[in-house]
Amino acid sequence: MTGLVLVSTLMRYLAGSPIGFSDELSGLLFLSLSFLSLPHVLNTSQHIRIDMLVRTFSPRLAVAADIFANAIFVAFAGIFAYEAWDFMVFSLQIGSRSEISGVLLWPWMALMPLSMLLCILIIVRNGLQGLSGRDAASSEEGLS
Amino acid sequence: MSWAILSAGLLVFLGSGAVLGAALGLTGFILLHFQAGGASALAINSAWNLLTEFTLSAVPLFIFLGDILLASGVSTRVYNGLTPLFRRIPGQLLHTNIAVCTLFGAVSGSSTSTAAAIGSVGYPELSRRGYSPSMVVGTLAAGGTLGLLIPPSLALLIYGATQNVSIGKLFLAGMLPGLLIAMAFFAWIMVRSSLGSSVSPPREDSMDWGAVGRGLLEVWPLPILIFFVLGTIYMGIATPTEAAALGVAASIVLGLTWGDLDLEKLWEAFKHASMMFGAIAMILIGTVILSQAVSLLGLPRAAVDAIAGIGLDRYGILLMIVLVYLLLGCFFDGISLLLMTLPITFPMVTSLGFDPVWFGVIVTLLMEIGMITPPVGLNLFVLCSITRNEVTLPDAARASLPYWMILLAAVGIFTVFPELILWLPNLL
Amino acid sequence: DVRTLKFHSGLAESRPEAAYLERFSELVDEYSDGQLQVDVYHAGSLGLKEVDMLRIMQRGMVDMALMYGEYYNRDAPEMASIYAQGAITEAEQHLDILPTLRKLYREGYADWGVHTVGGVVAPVFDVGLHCKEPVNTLEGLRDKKVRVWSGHLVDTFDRLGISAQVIPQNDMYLALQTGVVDCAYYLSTVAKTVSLQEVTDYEAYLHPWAASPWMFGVSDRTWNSLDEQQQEILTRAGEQIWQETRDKAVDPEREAEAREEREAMGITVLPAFSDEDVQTFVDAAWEAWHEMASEAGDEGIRYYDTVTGELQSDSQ
Ligand code: NA
Ligand code: NA
Repeated sequence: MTGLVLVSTLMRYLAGSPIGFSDELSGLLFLSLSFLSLPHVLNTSQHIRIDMLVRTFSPRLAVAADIFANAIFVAFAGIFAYEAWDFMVFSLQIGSRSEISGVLLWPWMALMPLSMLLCILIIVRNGLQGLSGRDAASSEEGLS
Repeated sequence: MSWAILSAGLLVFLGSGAVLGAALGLTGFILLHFQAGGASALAINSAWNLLTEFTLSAVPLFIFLGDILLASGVSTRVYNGLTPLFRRIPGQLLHTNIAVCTLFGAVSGSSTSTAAAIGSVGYPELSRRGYSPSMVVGTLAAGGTLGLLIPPSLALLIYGATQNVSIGKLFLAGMLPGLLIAMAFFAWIMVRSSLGSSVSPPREDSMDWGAVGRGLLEVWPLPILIFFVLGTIYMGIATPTEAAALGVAASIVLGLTWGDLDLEKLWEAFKHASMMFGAIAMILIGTVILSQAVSLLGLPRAAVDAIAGIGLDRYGILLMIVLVYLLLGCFFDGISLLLMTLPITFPMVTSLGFDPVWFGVIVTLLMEIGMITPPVGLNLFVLCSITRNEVTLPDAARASLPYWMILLAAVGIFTVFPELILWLPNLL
Repeated sequence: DVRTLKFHSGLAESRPEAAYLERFSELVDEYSDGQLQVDVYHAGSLGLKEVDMLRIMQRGMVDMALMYGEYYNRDAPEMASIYAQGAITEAEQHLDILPTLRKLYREGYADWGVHTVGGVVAPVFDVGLHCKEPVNTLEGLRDKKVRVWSGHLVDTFDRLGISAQVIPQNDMYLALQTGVVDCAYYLSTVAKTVSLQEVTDYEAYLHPWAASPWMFGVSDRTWNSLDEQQQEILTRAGEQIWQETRDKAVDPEREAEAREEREAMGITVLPAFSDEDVQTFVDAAWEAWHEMASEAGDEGIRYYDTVTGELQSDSQ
């Protein structure tokens, strides 16, 4: 959230004085906005999925598909975070800078693995909540 | 083997209802790791390059612009003002999507920004007024593709620069086909609105010219915004990204003075826009990783090489090339597909005696088709995100099908009558 | 069985240099009786970006690539400071300095796990200013906005009180058409390939292109997987291309023909910038070059001192 405020300030700065800000900076801001908003979008389940097939599944199969779908996300985010971490550390070591304005790049790159790790945490948390929720539901069924 | 992994991965991962971007990206990772000799690190390079490239940085600004107009009530008043004018035409305000996209296409080189810019205002306004959501998305998807054909066009620029064809001629060549296709879109909206299930609110028979006049008086912010977004680009004052930022500033001023925007609503609009954009970013990441994998494996080249060996006549080869572009269009869109295939298709087609300028327009049309071909169609993804998945990807694809067929028919017609493309540039 | 190597090139196929890559591929095919194949992917059609190539080659994610030192400013700024525009004022100077450049690049690439086997000596094209209005003095450029291709050039023009900005080649046409810039600093010889004659009416020659050689890089991972005979074939073919292109690099006739062709297309070729202006430009370019090299660290300064020292001793 703090990140969002930060980006918002920068965005307003952009909106306020647009002429002359470098394309490079707007590219880096674009990247930051993308990765800062990913976990938030995930948290409110607004990512796009194709669920037409899953909707035809029986409830049991749908749960299996849901676990599989989450596993796909965790696998993707995990690999991405691992490789992005590597990418960032390497750039830190050689001190990569942007072409024109000479901005150090690794802090921006660090957003990529951090964002993906946060996404994994959200999935795990939602999964645990889902499990306990399902347990609660079934135990209630058992009671009635 | 690569083709098998590609199809199976997409089928299983997408079918499971996983987050679209993750499903595309994981397929890409698998291809990179197992088929390209452990090159999965490359995925990060391509994601970084795509998201730091400034061509796309106008997209979130345009979405933010749309949300400000919406939150301040400015867009509602503008659409209210336009309604009387379109009252008697079948399809009514649906036509505004195509018209505004055509106008916007004349300054924007990219079809995704066109769809995002027009969609973030047009969709909420029209669906609220009782237009069928999927019909609205269809017109936006179709209208967005016009951005690629009507000059300036990123696709034609890159075609011209890589294949040594006059960019000025290409721009002239794109104009007439772009307008003809816009006309065909208008015609289809009228036909579809007059037949079959209802897609728009009921129409009135009489024209109330007083209401038209009063309505048009409410439209005055439109030219101001158009000046800030389009005029500044034409006059060379601003790049597209800067123009989008200027448009944001202008819309905030308009919203605070003429509309009912306040800081709280502005903050809400910002939050809404960044969520929407986050959903799009996830898809961009997945798409670029998959594209990187497929291009590193040289799959497009393999496909085109395969048809060169069949031994067909001139039109047979052209037909096969079109088919290959349609097939590749399922997995790619836009510029990446262009760069991957042109080195092979351009010499093939021109050596058969086809005109290089003509082929530039044809190949741009095929790019446009790819943009709205599922499962990997960027314009469809962007629009689904804008509707917050109220219109799902299959619905959006189905709604775009008629426009997809119009574009394909255009390829056929322009092949039979190449003068439609070449007449204007040859006047030069 | 047949071994096939993937070769990345960022150059458009329409560039004259690109034809030599196909020639290299043919030579390798010939020398190996078809047992070793090089598939050239032009115009970045493998989906790879130039700025990433050092990382990509270091990990062996592609077998071969056309390497160009000036592209790697982000990851290896010292390589970008080996050679710079304004380094030479006569085309022949390029041939004198070429062996030194080749040696420095070979060492630099080796540090990144890239073995080099010859390459294409870029033709020494004319570099000129392509403007909408007649301009052939630095004074006349002062109130113009100029498109250039690198940060070093922005800095150079800045020192001359001329506002310049980096605009990628693909955006240059539109930037000139809409008036975002008034002039483009570009390779006049190949200006036709990007349709510059449609958006500018005048050109004036400034200096010869100080072109870093396009080296054929083989990732160490791939190189070590080849047997001795295959390595020998790549080296022989690469060296042959190097010699052929070196012999053709300086060609006043080619430049004159290209100039006539542009004139026939309606471009007015103005008299070249004066010797005095060229000297002023060169001084500023060397200052900017020195600064770029010092920012790149000790290695950058070593490269700068080696190349400029040799250029100066040659001219004496
Ligand atoms: Na356009
Ligand atoms: Na597609």
